Amino acid sequence: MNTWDFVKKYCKDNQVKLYIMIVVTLLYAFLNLVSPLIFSFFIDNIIDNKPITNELFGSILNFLGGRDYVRSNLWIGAACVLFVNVFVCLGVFIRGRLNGIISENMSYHIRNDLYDHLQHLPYAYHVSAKTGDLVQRCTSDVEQVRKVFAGQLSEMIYSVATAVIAIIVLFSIYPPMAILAIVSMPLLIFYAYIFFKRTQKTFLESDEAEGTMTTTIQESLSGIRVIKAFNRERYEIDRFEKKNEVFKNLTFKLIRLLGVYWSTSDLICLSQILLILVVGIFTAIAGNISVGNFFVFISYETMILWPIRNLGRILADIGKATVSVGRLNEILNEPVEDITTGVTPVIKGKIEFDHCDFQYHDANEPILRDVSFSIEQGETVAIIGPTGAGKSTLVHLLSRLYDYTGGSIKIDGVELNTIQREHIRRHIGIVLQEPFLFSKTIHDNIRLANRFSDESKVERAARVASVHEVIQEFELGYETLVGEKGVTLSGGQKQRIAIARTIINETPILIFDDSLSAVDTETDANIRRALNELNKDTTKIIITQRVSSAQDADKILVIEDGTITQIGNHDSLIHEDGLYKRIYEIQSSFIKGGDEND
Amino acid sequence: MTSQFQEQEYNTNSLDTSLWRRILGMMKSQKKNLYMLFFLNFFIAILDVGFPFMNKIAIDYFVGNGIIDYKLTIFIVIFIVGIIAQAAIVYLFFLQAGKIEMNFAYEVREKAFHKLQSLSFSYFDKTPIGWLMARMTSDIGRLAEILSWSLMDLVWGFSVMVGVTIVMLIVNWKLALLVLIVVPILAYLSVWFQIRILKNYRSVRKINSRITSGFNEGITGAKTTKTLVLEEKNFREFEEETQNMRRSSIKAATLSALFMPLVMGLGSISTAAILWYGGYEVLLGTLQFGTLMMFTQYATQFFEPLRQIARLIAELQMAQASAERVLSLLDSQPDIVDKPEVIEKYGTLFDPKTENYEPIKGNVEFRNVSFHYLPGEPVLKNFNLTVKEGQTVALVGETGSGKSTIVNLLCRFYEPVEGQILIDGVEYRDRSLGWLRSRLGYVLQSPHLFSGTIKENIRFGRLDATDEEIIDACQLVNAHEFITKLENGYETEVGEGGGKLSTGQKQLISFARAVLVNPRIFVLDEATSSIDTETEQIIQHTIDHVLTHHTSFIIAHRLSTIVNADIILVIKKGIVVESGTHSELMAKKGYYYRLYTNQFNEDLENKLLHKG
Repeated sequence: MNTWDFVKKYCKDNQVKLYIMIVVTLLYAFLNLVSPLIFSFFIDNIIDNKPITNELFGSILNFLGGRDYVRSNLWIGAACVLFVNVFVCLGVFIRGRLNGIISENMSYHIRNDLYDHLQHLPYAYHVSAKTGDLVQRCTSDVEQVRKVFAGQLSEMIYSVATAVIAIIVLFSIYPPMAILAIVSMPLLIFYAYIFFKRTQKTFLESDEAEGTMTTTIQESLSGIRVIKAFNRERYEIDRFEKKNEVFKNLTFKLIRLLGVYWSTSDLICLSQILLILVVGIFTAIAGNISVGNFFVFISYETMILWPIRNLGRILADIGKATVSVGRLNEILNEPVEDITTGVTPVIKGKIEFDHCDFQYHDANEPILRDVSFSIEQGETVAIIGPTGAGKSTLVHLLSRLYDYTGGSIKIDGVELNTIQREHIRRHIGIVLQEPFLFSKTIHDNIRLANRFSDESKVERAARVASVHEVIQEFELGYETLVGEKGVTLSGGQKQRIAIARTIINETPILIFDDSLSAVDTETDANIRRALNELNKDTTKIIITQRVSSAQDADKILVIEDGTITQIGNHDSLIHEDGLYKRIYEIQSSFIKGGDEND
Repeated sequence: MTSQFQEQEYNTNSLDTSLWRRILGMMKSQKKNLYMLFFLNFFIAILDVGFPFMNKIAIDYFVGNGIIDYKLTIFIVIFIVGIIAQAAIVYLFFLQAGKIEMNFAYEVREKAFHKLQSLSFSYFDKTPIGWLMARMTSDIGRLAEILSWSLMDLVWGFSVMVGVTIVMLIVNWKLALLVLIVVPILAYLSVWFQIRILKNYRSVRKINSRITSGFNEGITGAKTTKTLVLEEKNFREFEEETQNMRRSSIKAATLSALFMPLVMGLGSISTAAILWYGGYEVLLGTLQFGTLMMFTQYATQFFEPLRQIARLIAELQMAQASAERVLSLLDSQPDIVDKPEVIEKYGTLFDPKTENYEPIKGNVEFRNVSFHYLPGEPVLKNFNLTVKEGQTVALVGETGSGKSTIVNLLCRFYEPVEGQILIDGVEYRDRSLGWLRSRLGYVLQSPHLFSGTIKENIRFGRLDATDEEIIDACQLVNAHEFITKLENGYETEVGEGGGKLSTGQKQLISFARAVLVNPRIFVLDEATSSIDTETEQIIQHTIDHVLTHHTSFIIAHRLSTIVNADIILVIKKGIVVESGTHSELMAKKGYYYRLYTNQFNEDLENKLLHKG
């Protein structure tokens, strides 16, 4: 999708409204220019006694009752002004409302599409995603695009239309003076465009400086405990001061540049007005234009100059919006993960890995090599191994968060990469290492994935996860708000709520990715016991660092550096030289060691 | 608890003058710029009134009389002077207003940031980061804008209106009245609309911030969303917000769209009246064309200042909540401060006199310490503990039993409600916060890294550390190996909050950071929960042997981490239920024994425990 496709796609639903908006804007520009003409007509042809050259005006005048009648009833002129203005006002209103509807419809669809798209991007994308940058795009870049349709576009149409109509009228009055009236216009447009194009960099710098400053505050606040513990308050203040200063100076520079722009463009505009005044004086005295027409020239001059002065800025803003569209397209063009195609076999819980390899997209070497093992339905398997050995990767493969790059994985005999992703994820409950809780109540967090809307399950799941009592101790119990805006939970509490929300669906396969690390050993044991009682047929995979959590498993896999080095159960592995035995000895020696010290 | 931090509703119709006086008081350093700006404003208003007057002269005097004489030169010269003045004043105006805006924002942010750095843990426990961020960024920004540009618009608006009124009354008071007659209605309408427009705009902003956090949550929670297959559900919730946004925004846009034509319509009544009545006067020869034209220009010129004034009044009402919240942040007082005599000797947190810091040996004593976070809910009661220099204390117990509270008290993140904590025999409140914390090595359960490279993060522990010292520290905690395996080694960017590293890796880095401090007192709050056993063994070795002169406090669930401690305290609901060395506690066969024998099955337990 390129920029043009993007615009077309989101304009499609608003096509009719867009056309109406353009027509109304053109009418408005036209009518807005009529008032000075009425004035001029009354000055010249009614109040003054100049002959009527314009046939249209002549017939209107006749319709109104002739010159003398109107002269003795000047309210007719006033009524004409009011009459035209009613339509001008109506035009302004319709234009404003249409702009609102069009721009809001568009941003509504853009926002929804972005959100939906982001949700469907693959796991790997989110692992390396820069949250701040993405949020920035989804908010300010959308805003930039919205602004174009909320007014800038119609303002541009208005400016151009006004200028064109006004110039035509002026030329019809007295061409030589009309030429002088527009002599500064190209300069003004060119100057404005170049200026805003040039300052775009400064705009960007100021925005970026603000972003950096905000990030610095944000980081300092989320790391405030570390800062205090290391007595680094002064250091943080100095760091912030620099960012604050940079932001101040850059923004000030920008404001000064804007000052230069507005003052020079004032200079140009006012000089243009002076020119037309002086020329007008000579022309009027020479009798080449009437007083009323002089009035039209002066009025039109200001009516053209001010919008034209803005035109350059609008063009530059539209340029910025084009950049924004590019940035949004970058997200929208990112291929999404297909979660709906594939077979949907009944999943019971038998898992077979057969010479499975996996290499991360951006890595130089595989993280998992030649992994083979099998798990029967209802078995509990513990995976143990050093940090970075590939334990988490292994279970991520099962949920199809990543697809294996070699060998085969079969779930109940079906090749995993042919199974629909949504289907497999609904049947595998996985508790991630660092679970994320949404800003909702605890109750809503636990029942997030509950597809059966059975409320009693919430408490049952919480009990199994040994978190019911903790929740009860909160003032608001299950209605306590968590996440960014709510109470701060300890790592262990978060993990247990995440467990509760995962087990609520009683999936045939349950995976704990070191998700009991922040829970004390007793609670850990309680949770595992409760889980066993809950459903005996569930296949469970537990990644852990604790021998105590692994020892009851039917099967223990030891993973080192991407390969399985040992498979067995606790009894067999403690008699076999290897990592498990070493870990076991380290962890158990203390109990023994305690006695030996006696 | 959260209620006080929720966006306050717009509910006041009156301006709180004392509040704004305080805010204006914060602009003291900008006094000169402000006066300058007022002065400039006055000139701009004169020019704004003057240019239409020049048009009148052009038509009435020159065209009307049909003479071109030396006065035209004067006219042109005056006009040119006006143009140059206009250009210069506009430039200076931007300069001054920009200076005021940016300086004010800079100074208030600076003050607020200072305040944030000095506030205690208890403040951050109950204040959401999002709330603070909004104060630091948008609220301060909005105030700065109001106090510079909007305030100037107000002054300008008044000056122009007064100027136009005077000139009109002098030139032709009857026509002037025709213009002025709609002003009260215009003023009333403007204020009425502006308040509603801003109110709408505010509710749009509120929804907008919900959409922003929706995006934020959607992106940070994407991994969780995938595993729980919540894509549809999340989208429906998000769509509700965007739907809401669309509805409110269109409402707001409609209101704005209504305001402009209404005011324009009113203005055109004036214009029509001028044409009607003024036309007669021209017919009678009592009025010149140019004057008539000037009045039509003034009639339209009246509208813009009125709109600006109405906007400012509305803005001030809306910004009152911002002002209140910013002031409330600036007014917050830290719970934990050094006594004046302590500050005199040791300096403040920001400006310490390190030369007066006595060295810390590491003897720690808790003497009858009681503590509660909330009155009536005691966490610790009459807690006593003596730790000698170089000893290791392990704290064991269930989550929420009060272990973290003890180390938090030791670090003086909180202070005892009753009793004393002595370090090297001195009550620690008689020394400065900096004195204690500069000798503290603290590793938290959820390790927080700052964005930047690994090296920068470790150097946070000691700013003057050399690269070699950083590598040494990493080798001590066994982090060197994994770091060098990364593509960019020590120069690897850790990402926002360390997001690119695993929890275990983050823990190792935050460990190295603490080791680099070369602290006298070491605090490990479940610092190794996500590190594998063999690595932890190496860290353990480091703690036991390399850092042997350091007093250490360790909170851990894993037995291997605590088994070699000199003192193990078993804590249950804020009370020490058992204490002693590992073997003493095992022999006691009490709570500790049960806690840790649970880790292994009965068989093993018997084998291991009863063979001795």
